[in-house]
Amino acid sequence: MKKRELALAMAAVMAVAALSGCAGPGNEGTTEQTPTVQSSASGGSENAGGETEEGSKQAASGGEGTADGKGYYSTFDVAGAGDVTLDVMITSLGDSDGGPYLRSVMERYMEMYPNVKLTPVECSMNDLYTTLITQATAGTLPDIFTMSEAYSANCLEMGMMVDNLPELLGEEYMSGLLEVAVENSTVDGTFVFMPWQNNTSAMVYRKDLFEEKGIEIPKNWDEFLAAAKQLTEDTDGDGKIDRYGSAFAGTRNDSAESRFQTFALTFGCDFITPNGDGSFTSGFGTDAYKNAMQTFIQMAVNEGITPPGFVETGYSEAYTMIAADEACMFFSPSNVLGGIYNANPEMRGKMGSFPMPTAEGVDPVTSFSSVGMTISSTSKNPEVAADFLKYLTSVENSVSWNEATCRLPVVKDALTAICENDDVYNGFVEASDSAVIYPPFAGLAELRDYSAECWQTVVSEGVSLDEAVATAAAKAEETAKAYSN
Amino acid sequence: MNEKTKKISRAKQKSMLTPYGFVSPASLTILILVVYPILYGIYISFFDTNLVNKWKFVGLRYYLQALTDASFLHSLEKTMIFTVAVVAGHFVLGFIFASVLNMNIRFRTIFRGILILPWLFPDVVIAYLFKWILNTQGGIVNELLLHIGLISEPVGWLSTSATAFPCVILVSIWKGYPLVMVQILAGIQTISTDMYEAAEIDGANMWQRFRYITLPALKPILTTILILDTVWVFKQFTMIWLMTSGGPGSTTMVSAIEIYKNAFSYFKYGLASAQSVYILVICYLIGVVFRRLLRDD
Repeated sequence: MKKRELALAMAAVMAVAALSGCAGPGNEGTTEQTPTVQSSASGGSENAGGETEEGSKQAASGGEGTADGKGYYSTFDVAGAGDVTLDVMITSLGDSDGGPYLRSVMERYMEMYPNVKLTPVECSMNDLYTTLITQATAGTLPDIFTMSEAYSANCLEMGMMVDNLPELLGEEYMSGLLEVAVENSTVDGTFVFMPWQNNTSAMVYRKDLFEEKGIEIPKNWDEFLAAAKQLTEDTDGDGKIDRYGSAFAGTRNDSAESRFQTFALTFGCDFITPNGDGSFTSGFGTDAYKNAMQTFIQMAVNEGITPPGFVETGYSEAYTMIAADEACMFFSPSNVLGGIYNANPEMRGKMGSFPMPTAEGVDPVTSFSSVGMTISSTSKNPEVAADFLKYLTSVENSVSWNEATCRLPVVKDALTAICENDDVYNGFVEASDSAVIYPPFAGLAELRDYSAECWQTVVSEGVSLDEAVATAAAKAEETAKAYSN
Repeated sequence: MNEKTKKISRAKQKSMLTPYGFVSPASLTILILVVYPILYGIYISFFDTNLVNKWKFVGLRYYLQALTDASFLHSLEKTMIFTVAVVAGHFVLGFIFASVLNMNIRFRTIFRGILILPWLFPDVVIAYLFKWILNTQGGIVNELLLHIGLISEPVGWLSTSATAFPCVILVSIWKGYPLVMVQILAGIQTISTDMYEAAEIDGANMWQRFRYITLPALKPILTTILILDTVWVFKQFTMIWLMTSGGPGSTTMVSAIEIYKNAFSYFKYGLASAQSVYILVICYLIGVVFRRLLRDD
């Protein structure tokens, strides 16, 4: 154990020394490193960062070199681990979500370590928790599985993951992650999952149209509405509006519901607040919640700035509308850009992002969430699993992954490299300064669902806003009580 | 003598055990795949559990909670309406098309093939097909109605409470009528034409022939289909979930969706199991009531 710790420390020291020597301090270093990282990703040429990190790996693994010089914080002698088979859950199935890319990363890892066999276990994100429960009950959890903060408390309660994930990943690696992401992955002091996707929410918009019409970036929702109205137009002169200012997701699923939670934040409303004594208070009964709901419905349905069919518009419908030049703005994590580009490659260069507008008097704010991976408590090779996770999230792989999906990583160096190369992410970077994470609350899915039920009953059933909000507030209060100790 | 008796006794025992050998594979399969899951579901309903390492006995708490849960009661009401409407639709369409197909018309084989098509598609395909047909933006129904000027702006067929539930019912009827049609057609074809001829000679009109010959002759088949169809429709999940997810609001929130959400969105397995037990009992009662009502005196 001591030897291992020593190796870890040495690897860390060598990596830090080598990186600082080659790349220089701060952002500049990362900027310089980026082109070589990218060229390595596409052509396999070696780079200074790669070499130095390989050096650290060699130190950690007793002098055995890596197969191809791809740099990542490896601290375990994978090549000497004998034959290892790992089941790896893949929830990114589609092209725009990086399914093929993930498989290629797994293949490259297996080329690097021929003694390791990675078996992909496909599962759609929508079925993730159902699948995990079934697998946990049957004792067939994959060695590596997807996890998010929405289920991390349950994951911890059920003992689904290893209890020494930070040790397996190593201090060096952990220090390279965004602090907010680590905090988001931690429940009651336990680091539950390795964060991977940086789901900071911001507004993506048609930058070219903003420039063409001279529209300023909106800072608050009134300005947003004015901008959306300016963008809403009949482009072909047939008397019908065919391009709308914005798209709003109104389906009753977690994708739309979690977006509304972010929207409510911009009105100063927290869905749930821990009281510090094990009990929780719901924010549904506040004026802020009501204002958020009212404005949301007003903009999504009554102002004429969104395409018809708000209740049927989900995430994929929204980005399809933007790709088809039918809508101009949509708030989302950065992966929406991947969807847009995949549906219409001509949109590259036309898109931009800006931080979420807020209600009058509310400071800039947005939500941070993350989907990541963790190692099963039943895994027979947690060290190799951790090594693969570190390889998966290396700077080089994170950059390539971003190119494939437009998802932003939580690895600081990779994030800097990506954002400095493409200004489409500027809004996400700016928004991350004011990003907050939600408190761990096992009833969050229920609260989100009450909100969706609320706007749907107002929009589709004609129930008054007061009545719908009161019903949602009563349910939320009950849920807050039910999950209070 | 003793040896002989023993031999006979062994042979007798063997022959007595043989039937059990034949039925045991089927019995074991039923025990493992049907009885055990049902019993396990009932067992779970008495616990506050995450199904892995938390098993807190709560007795009948979830059964009582379900009875006072407005959402569950609302979903039961929706399920009842949905079931009655869809089963009635299946029978009306089934009877009409079975009668048509029983006639000696041209291209009967082609019509048979076409009319049975909806039943051949998986629920998922039908659900997505209609989701797009009825879509507010670019759905073919809206495009057609706009084109002929019947509507001035797109209608949210699946996103408006007034139309979502009827749409889901109509699609479910369309999907399920062929099975009823095929069964009724098979039944009709077993009725002797002599009976109809005799009735005609006695002056019976079409309705009387249907009421006093067709219906009584089909009664055993109709009872079976009615029970099966009612239970199947009562448990309908896939199409409604894929078309509306129970929305808008709670307009199409039938009990199967309510239970699914409790179990797999909110992880309330105990409550969901208790609600499922209620559904099990209701489905069983439907079978008993129909058999009693429709039995031959």
